[in-house]
Amino acid sequence: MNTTEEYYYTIALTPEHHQVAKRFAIQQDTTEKAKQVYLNTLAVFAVETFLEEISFPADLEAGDSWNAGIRCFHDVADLLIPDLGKIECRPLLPEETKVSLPSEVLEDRIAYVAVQFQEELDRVQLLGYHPTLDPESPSQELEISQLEPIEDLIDYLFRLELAINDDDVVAKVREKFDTKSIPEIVAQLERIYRTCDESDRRYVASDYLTGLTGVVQENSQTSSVRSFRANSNDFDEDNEEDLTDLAEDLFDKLSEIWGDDDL
Amino acid sequence: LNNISGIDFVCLSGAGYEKIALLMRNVSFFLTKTIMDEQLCELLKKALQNPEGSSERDQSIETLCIIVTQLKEDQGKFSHYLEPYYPEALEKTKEYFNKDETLSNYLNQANLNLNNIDCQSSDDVKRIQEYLIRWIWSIFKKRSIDQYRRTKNLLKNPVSTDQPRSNDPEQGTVENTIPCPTLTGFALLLENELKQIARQLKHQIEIDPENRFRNCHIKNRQDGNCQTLIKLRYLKEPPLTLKETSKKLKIKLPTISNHIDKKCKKLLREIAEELGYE
Repeated sequence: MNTTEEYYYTIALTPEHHQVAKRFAIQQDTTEKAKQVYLNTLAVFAVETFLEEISFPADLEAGDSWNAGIRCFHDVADLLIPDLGKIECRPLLPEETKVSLPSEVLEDRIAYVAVQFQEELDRVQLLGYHPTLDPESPSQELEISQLEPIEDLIDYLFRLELAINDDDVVAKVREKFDTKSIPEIVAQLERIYRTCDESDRRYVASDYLTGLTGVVQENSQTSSVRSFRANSNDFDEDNEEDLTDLAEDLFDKLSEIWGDDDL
Repeated sequence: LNNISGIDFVCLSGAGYEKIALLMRNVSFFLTKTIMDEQLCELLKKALQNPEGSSERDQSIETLCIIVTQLKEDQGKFSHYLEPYYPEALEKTKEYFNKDETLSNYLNQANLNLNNIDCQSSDDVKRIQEYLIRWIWSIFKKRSIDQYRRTKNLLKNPVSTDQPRSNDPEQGTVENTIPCPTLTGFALLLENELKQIARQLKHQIEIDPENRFRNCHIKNRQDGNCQTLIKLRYLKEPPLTLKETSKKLKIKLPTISNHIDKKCKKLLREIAEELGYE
């Protein structure tokens, strides 16, 4: 991945941003937690401002970071782009060189944006972004050098949007999964498409999709689970084959959409 | 006519873009090696030294934009989607970059001073290369993507300008209006105001006096209720992932995920607000 050297994107923070951050922060139990919530809130505002500038407006209220009952327990700074997915906005203190990723932000994020704070809280710098992580082995932290330039986030979002709005892709995913999962699945397929050899893609994707179908041990007390035929060898094999075929079909279509462009 | 590294070409707008693009493609390697240094710097300097609206400024900006977009186009993504929108995007990029305000913001962001730009200085040239190309390319790219998305009805609430509100650090900053907290200072400000509602919320989840969490469960699965799910997902240290929660409760992952998103989070928010959270 590229390094962005000194080209960091500056976002001004407004008094309104600080007012909301303070309102969220003082509801917490400890100063440490309050500080975390304050900075997370500012980081979300900064990324929201940037997303608006690149015409991918976000829905602040829809994120866990705006849910009073969740942010007091979790270290979250998420931001939902409707129909596209969640971006996690991670604050970095001055001199910090790594983006920490608590376990609660490792699922269902299409990207991570690093937000650098300085002593003066009137502005922040967006250091770059990282696309979604491998759910099977997510990193606990990201080096700044691993980030892509922030101005390329628009390419990444556009890439996902093209796939999410493609009727064939949507129809194929819908055969097996609910509509809500589509953005997350597309983001993971994009990761696999970008990082795996062509010959490996469908198998890696099949493994991912298998995990997503939630094959569980049979619970004898429940008919709904029983009907799912989980833990059956026949089912596992059929299911795996189905998902490998689905992955192959999807990559055929996605390669038409994304081409051979190197992200 | 402009003469760049010994290559003469006419700066055309709109319809002339394809001719320029073809010419530039043919010599892109040469251009990459040569134009990327002092010439870009000189063009920028020329643009800055002439007033907005002057033909000299227009011509310099047009040349700059064409060179940068052509140089970067080879690295661009989705060209098969965006190519039809390039001419219009180029026009809009030129218009936008031509403005005094844009150029001033560019200088601020690049930490350059108009009066001191020295195109013989490798530092200045490097800085201009780094910033100018990325700056123009990001504007052009956004314009192209915007145009595509507008055509496909994908663009929601488009903003009227792609000028970052923040690129001028002197505009709209907190310090211009009210004193802004500092990193070392704000935690102290918060310390005396903590309302400590979180522990009350945790207590409510644990005891659930009106069974509001327990009664909100997945169909036919009383054990898949919001109290259990919230405890596993939010109170446990470290919290369980959705996949782990699915395995532990033996309920399909999408079912768990939907119930948490549609029911439990909403309930958690409601009760938090009843306790005084905003």
